[in-house]
Amino acid sequence: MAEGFAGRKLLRDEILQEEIHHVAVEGMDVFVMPKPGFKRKYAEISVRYGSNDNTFHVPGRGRIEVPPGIAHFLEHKMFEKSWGEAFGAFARLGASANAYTSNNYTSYLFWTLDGFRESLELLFRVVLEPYFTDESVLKEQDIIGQEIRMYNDSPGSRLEREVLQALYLRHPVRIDIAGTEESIKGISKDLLYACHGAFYRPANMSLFVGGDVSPEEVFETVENLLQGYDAGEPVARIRPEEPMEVGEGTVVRLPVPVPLVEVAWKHEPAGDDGALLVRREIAANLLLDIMFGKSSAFYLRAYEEGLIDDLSPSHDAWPDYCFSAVAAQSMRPEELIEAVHDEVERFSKEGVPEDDFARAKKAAVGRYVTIFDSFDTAGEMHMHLFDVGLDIFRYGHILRSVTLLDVSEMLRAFSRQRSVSVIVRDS
Amino acid sequence: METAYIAGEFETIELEKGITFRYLPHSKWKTISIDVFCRVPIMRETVTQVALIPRLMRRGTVNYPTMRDISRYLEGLYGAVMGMDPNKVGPEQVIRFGIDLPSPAFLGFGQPAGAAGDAGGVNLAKAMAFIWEVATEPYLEGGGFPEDRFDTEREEHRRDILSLRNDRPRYAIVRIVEEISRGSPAGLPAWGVLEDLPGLDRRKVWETWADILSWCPVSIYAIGEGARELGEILQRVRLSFPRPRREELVAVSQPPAPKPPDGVIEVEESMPGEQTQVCQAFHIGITENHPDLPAALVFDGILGGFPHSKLFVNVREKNSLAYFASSSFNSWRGMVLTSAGVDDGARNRVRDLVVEQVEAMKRGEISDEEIESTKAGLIRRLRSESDSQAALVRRRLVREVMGGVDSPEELIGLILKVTKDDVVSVAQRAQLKAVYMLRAKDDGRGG
Repeated sequence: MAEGFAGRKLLRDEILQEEIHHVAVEGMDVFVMPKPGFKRKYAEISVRYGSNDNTFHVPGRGRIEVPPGIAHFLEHKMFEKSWGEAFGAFARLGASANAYTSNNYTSYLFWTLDGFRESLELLFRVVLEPYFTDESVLKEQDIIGQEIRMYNDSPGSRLEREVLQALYLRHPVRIDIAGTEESIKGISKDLLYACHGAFYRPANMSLFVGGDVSPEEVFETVENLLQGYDAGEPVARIRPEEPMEVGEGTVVRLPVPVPLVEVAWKHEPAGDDGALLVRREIAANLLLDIMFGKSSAFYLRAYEEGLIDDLSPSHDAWPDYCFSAVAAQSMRPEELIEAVHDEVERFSKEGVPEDDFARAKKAAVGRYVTIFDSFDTAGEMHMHLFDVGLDIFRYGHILRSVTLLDVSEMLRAFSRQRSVSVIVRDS
Repeated sequence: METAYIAGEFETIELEKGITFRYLPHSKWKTISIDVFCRVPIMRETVTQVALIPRLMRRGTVNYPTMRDISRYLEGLYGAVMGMDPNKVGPEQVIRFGIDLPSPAFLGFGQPAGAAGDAGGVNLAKAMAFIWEVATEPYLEGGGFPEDRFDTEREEHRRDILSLRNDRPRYAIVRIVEEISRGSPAGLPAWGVLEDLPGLDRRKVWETWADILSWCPVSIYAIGEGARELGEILQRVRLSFPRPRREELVAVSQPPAPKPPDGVIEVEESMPGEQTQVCQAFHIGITENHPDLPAALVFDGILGGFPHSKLFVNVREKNSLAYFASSSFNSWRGMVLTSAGVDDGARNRVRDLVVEQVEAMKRGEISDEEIESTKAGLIRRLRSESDSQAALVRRRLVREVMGGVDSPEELIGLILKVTKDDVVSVAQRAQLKAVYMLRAKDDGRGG
């Protein structure tokens, strides 16, 4: 059976007792993680196209620059078809569909109990059959306009966006994923077709399926769906050169009862070395946990002094940009910013304690194991890791091999000169 | 018995009067999860005190006196996650003390092969003892919560309540529920009453909780590998309480749901921002134990439960007035609440459009496709719950508090039998009871 699919691979982890089957069909990577005992079946097509891809080079057409927010706009419009509305079509099959756009990917997914093959076929039609009209583009501008306003009214979203705008001077990650009400007015049906044609090609996508399904059935279905489909030439993305300097932090005025504050550090990106990227990502997350996690001395002190009620560290690592952040609600935001920088400095002087490292790593291994209970988290993580030459099981191996030295080295990437702070507060 | 597990049915053991243990030892998950629920009828005098309890108890216990001690202990359990919160289930304030931990079988730290179940049981018993301590044995000073901790948590709780407005769509729903609950303690939210906070006392709050623990029904849920072994352990030990259990008092006297308002309440408020929130409440008078409950679920689903629903299609897709427009059904109140975020200038049009959708259903304007897609969607949601530990626990808890059909499969059977006439008759009972608008006012600094 297995030999029916050229280049079929099996990834397996004995400790986790999990496996992922993999084939490439017309350049599209297809992954299946069988989950016997689960009732829901899940499929997600991940297109390597996000809000960051707004300048690119198309063979035969040259350099194209598109308005901010177009990847997200395109995602909305892919559900409208000449034959009707795809959400309704999924509903008729008993499936629930969704989609979202991030900085680097556009994802289309569904959950279902029965009729998996029909829903999978529909998902491919959603992604591969564009249908845009001038009228429907105009209508969508109003709907997305409301979406943008909803996010503008959300203090948390505003905080995140302002941090990225301060941290990055040129890189498109500084631009809001949905664009602005102004920028989306520049989107036309022709531009949508051009972006779809450039990026929505099998070779620029992967598919992840999780649930009690047969890998063979999925592979067969995808082969039939993509038969004769042009894998497409890769599109060259054009990214501006981003300096390591950062911009100015800001204070945003919104009617919030408690100010929101975030400190973020810009790191040197790892480039195309996936193993390095992931090792650093894990080290950064452990370091953040050791310095600012719930079991840290800092957290307890800041909590008891009434400086914070909670503190959320995060880390984002991509080949072309990388940053860490700590966010909180605080009545004394300026004091918190200083305290955070002081704590980093204290660690730089005193080093990372070995026992803190051991505890943080133990906890990280436990959390990694539980990822496999949610297909969508595991699926997205696996597809993103695959794009840097790894897979979700190798992530676990790297996690187990990360040392105190890795974590200590990461400390150097937390320099105050390469950090910004943003505060959201009422007048 | 194995088939029951597959269908997602809990086994129940009564440990003592008023203390039940429900377990589902299915091994398909890599997480094992324990929740202790203390069920307290909503009472005006205690609602805010009880709401503070999760915050106060997580600050420290007798054996783990600081938050840092607690966090370090959890890290030692391979990053176990502790969660506690006040919830409202119908007429009850249900305080959850929960812990999720990775199943030791998959950690690869030298577990003997084939001993996964035992190891899980032992680990679960440790986690259970810990979370029970968090729920019942706080670190105290002078017969109450330490003063500095009490003051901090009271202030943070106040900020939490004020910060509800950071999420405007949710805040608008909170406000409309408040409006249709006026004058009834049972309608109070799980987080209590802001004005109560200054008058609370650190000793009194502990006394109140210790007293409640002596009579409130306690439900313990365990789910995942080793859950059955935990039940065996719990049957051998006796759970300790700060005060002796008074079994004769264990009873849930559930306050009745607030009566729907007589006329239509209309409230308008404003807040600087860009988007106006429009919420409406329709009373349909069908509650959890009503024979028409399945038809009410279908009614709510067709109105606004899905992307194929009338609200999404008409408010968003056809008229481009909103990004979201949906409804939800409160089976305790017998109310359907609708919600949409719109341009301020379109607020009255959207309000009328929502009413029009309900009126259309009264006239029988419901397609077969709407009925079939909605039934399929409801069934998918119900059956999907068997994959989620949190959803399984939630559904069983709601049934424990509010009654209703015995199992998700039984409910599915009833949903399948719902006809268009059934849905129309639910629609015909629908009466608009409240309109709440949170208007966006541009103060010149937005955008």
